[in-house]
Amino acid sequence: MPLFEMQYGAKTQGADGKPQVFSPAAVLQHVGPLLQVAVAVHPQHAERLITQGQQPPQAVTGLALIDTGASITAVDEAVCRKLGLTPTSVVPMSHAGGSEQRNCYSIQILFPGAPLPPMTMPLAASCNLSAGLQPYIVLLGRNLLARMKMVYNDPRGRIEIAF
Amino acid sequence: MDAKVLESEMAYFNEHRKELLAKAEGKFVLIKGDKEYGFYDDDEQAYKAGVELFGLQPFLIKEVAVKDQIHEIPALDLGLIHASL
Repeated sequence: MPLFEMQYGAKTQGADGKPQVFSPAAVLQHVGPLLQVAVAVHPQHAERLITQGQQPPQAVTGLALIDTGASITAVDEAVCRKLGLTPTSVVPMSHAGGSEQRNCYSIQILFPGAPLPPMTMPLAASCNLSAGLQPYIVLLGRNLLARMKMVYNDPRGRIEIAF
Repeated sequence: MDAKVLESEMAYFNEHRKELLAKAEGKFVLIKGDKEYGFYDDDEQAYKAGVELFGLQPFLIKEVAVKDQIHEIPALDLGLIHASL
């Protein structure tokens, strides 16, 4: 299995104007396991658009949080709207007051800057991440993590993904 | 968003769940309107078949199970990530 290591770290400017460097471990602990992603229409969808003489919409780029607590991968509704997607399924999602039906959409997730292969997800649940002013556009849930081995290595400030 | 788009397909699925279970429990069924268009081993195959048959029109893919799995994203449920479902 090819192995990919995502090393975290941050350098900012402090209030006194001096550069501040945060350790990889501190950054990973603070922001969580994030990856740069681009969300695109499913390749089948893109192919169909091209045969109709249309250009597939440009992929939406942003951050994804690896969420091992999530049973399903979720994508921001605003992203689905931008891509002009129609729902492919409806699934019940639990919330504090019970459960509600949520639409699913077919997407492709690309990982620019990482050697991970593009992953298709015909049934990604929608949620309203941008309404909560989240920096993420995708939560990578266990149905996608099922395709890889992931090690959360906080002492080294990195995640290791074998795929 | 588009809450009513798959309403008739979901109604068909729920009304015919028992028959679908008898035919293909554990498979993924493809439904358009009030008709089923085959059973598939996974959602990817069902999606490809759906696009081939219906292009970019809406169609429903559902896993044929006795009960739908209730999905959970605790980070959202518990407000650890401030977003709405």
